[in-house]
Amino acid sequence: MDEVMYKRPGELINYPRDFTSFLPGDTSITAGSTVTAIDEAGTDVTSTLVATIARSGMILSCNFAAGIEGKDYTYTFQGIGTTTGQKKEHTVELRVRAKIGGAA
Amino acid sequence: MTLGEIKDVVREHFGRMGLPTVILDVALAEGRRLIEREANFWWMRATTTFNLVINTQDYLIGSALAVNIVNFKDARAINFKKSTETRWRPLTLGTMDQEELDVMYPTDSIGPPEIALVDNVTLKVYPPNPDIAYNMKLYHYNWTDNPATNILSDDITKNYGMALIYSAIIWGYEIELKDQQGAVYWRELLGGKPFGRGGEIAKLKRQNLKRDWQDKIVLVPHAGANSFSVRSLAQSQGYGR
Repeated sequence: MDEVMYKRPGELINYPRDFTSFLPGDTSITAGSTVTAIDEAGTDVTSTLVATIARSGMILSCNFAAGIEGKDYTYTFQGIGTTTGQKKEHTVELRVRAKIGGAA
Repeated sequence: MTLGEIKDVVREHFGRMGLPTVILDVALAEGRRLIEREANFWWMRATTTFNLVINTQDYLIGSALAVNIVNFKDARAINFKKSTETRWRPLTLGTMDQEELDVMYPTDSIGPPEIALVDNVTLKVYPPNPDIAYNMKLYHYNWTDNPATNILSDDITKNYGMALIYSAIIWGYEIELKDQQGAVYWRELLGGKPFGRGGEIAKLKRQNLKRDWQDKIVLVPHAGANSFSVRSLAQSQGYGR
């Protein structure tokens, strides 16, 4: 896991991921770059939890939406370099907690 | 507690980033095994039906095998009946060793099952050649898994959550932190000293004994033979292992 975040169920958080340092031979990522999400049981929840995906230059971003209290979701950002075709993945574990505050 | 709450408690102990979730899942799975190795508990009970095959003595136990059990731990009892019958008949299980039964029963003896045993992962019936395809019902204990998702709970997480928390922390101290002395403290909270006779394990064993008594009342003479071994909950460490 590359990063861990805590989020309250009602929050809508935009998360941008910059692939510049991981794909040095590229200046942009392809339209095929994706964001997917699974829950702690491995069930694919992309359709309900990945609200909006945006691609701009080397940045791939999405909104962390909704989520069920108590669950842990793993988001996988896959950036594909337009020039090199190289792929880099970045994972974020999102723990949805209404009553646990503070930093991860 | 739900499984997710138990994870959060263990995380707060090791640090929210200290134990990666995939490792935490392993710690909780191993923690559950640490508890289940101590006894055959009530939540591990299950039954499985299968049929004998004419002239076949051995039945492999396992996933998608003759006796389809995924995480078999121990056999408790076995019944059998003809497929046309509606009443099960008890079959003696595990009271004699295979080497004794092999001497007692000729290899060509035929008939309805009289005794059975589990040898490693094979259930054997004697006489060795069943005359018809009897229906069998095996009562057994399984190794169990933690709930699949954070928002679910089961008997351990809901009512004995501290047992699972302690056991996962023990695993974390021994494997992740390599701190044997730290693990000793948590090990005593889980199972007392000597391990298995105190702490949360003893509470589980007492409950296990009470639940077992609801199913099987055993009357023991208070005087006469064995008069010094009256069963009581205080002696529970002798049971359920």
